[in-house]
Amino acid sequence: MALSIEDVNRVAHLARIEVTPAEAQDVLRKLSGIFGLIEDMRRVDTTGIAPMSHAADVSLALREDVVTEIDQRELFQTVAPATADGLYLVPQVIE
Amino acid sequence: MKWEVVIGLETHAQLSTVSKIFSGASTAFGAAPNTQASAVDLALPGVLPVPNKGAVERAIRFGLAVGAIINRQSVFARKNYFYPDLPKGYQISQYEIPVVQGGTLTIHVGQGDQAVEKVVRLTRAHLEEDAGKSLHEDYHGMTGIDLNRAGTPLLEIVSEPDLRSADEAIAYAKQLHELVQWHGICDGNMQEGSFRCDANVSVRPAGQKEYGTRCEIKNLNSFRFMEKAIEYEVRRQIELIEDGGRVVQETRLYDPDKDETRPMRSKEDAMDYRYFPDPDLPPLVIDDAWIERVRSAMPETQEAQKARFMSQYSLSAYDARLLTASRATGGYFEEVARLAAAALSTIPGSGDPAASPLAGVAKAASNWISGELSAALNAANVGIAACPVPPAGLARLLVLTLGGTLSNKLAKEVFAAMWAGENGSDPAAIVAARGLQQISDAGAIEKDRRRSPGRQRAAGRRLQGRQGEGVQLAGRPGHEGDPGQGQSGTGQRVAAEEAGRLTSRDRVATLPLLPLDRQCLAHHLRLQFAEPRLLLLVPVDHLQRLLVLFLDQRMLLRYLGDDARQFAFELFRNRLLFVEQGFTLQVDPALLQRLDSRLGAVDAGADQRQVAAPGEIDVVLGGV
Repeated sequence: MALSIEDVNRVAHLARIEVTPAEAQDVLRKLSGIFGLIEDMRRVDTTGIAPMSHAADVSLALREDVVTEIDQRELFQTVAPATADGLYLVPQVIE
Repeated sequence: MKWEVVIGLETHAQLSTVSKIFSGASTAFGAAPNTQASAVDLALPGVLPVPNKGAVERAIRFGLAVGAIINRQSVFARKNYFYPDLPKGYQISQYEIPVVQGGTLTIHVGQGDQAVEKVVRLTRAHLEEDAGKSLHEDYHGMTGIDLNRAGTPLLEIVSEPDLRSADEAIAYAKQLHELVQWHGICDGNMQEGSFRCDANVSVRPAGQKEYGTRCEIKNLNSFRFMEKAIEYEVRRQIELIEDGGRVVQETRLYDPDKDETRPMRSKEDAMDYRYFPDPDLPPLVIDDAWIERVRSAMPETQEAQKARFMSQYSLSAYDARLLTASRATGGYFEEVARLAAAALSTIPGSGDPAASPLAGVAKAASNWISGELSAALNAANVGIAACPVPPAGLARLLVLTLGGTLSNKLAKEVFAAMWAGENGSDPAAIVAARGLQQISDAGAIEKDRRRSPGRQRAAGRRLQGRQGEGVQLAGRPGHEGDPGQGQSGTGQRVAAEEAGRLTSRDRVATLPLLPLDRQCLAHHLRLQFAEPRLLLLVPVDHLQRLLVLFLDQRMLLRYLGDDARQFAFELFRNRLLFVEQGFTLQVDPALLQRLDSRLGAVDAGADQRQVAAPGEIDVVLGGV
């Protein structure tokens, strides 16, 4: 399937990535290459083969339901640009 | 045109694990901001999520409880969106292959015997993590972010669009709420947000096959709001279509203050979450052995327990339903019944052993638990698990009443003393200390009176029951054992005389009227009081109905059903109810009938009224 410049701009917007028109053209060319590869792979007959969600055939390791973390707020907040009353402060979000 | 309402619910149940779904941080509610946010929850670079076995196990439990398919392999996916309380920029959820698929929930729509059963199909239930919290106030144009909640495990339970009214939606939500608590999946605390619903609502002309365009109402965290939000949204959609408009698919938020729903996001910003399998998390594999282990550790289901209570203890469907409202209640009941039956079987001559003693004990236990005990629990706002009267205590009390030592009325007095922790909450010790043995022989009472002054008071109290305790009730509440003093007014005298003539008894709670009560009364009952003195609440049918009496200078009286119940609960909530011990009222059915007919006349009157000249309506009665 062919990718358009609108698709690129839309994905960039959803991912909150700023692209200039020139960059968008470049990204379109690279992404189209990847899509071409996918199209090639789709030609392989996979009838009867269960799809995998991951490249490696492994399953999840689970942990027991116990609290293992201690409070490290002070340490973590040393790298935060702004905090108050234990909260991280961010530019106001209005919905 | 006739419209059909179509509703599907998405419910987020917070799983009752102690740690988060992908980190070892605590999930305890109410901690100081960000003290339970680990490096994983903050999405610091280089961290990896490791799923919590306890969360998966609860999902399996849920799937088994609703008869669903447990997928042997399910996949965690990234749901991508940007919001400051979601530090990773994506939420880990499940998309194409959830852990639980299908299943059904049987709901009961309608009240009591009128209830109709309906089977609601479930689409799926999947595991996901919660986001943090944004605080928009007070930070000088900044937003405060608390990430304690980030990573809390959730089970999102999605129903098919099988619900056809707000009532059905509420019945479904309540049934689901009971189920997740029953199986220890979720603590069900709606105030803390542990159980919250989104409703997908659409309407279509009756008979039409295709669904109408739906709107999703977000974050309904109480059953009452859910009902009002759905009703508002249904009205809005019908009016919109009937006015020639079209429903636009959108997400709406319910505003309880204005009682309306309004759009949350505009169409242009419609979400595109770009789900894809999370590369950090390989598939979740659940083997048969694990499912079997979970299954074997599951408690008896609520429905099965209800059916068993009906057959094993010969209880009515209604009683069985009340007793199986929670596992704790069911367990409490069985413990009381077991202990009381065992104790009674060792008392010679305590009833006909052939006449199913268990059924008798069970019925009595059921009455106590659904009546006195739940009223006390409600008033004190505690759950049955934290009940100050343990099953063994209630069982001993039951043995005293069933064995003939205590009348029901005295048993209630003993229960109150047990609740208060008197004499180590031991009913026998309380009976002994208060001298409460039931004495039916007048000579014995006389003898008892002479023996000790302490017992004399108790005996005197018992006698008042026979000699017109109405005198006391209209006087100064709490001034015990002093009948006849401090009385004045025609009304009270009439009350005394009436009470003396009555024949059966029940206990009455008295409530001194405060200015706030007066406002409540005016509001709820549209009654104006000049100088109210006393309010009496007479429990009838264990709070199902209450006979309510207000005494002012002229002595007013009114009989109410559900309104009174609502009102009484409101007073309980406001901590205004003082239950006075030891009042006895007696009821003459003929008098009750007479009063009812007079009340009918009163009810037919104007909204604002002052009725009854002194002596015209006289006294309250209880115990229908």
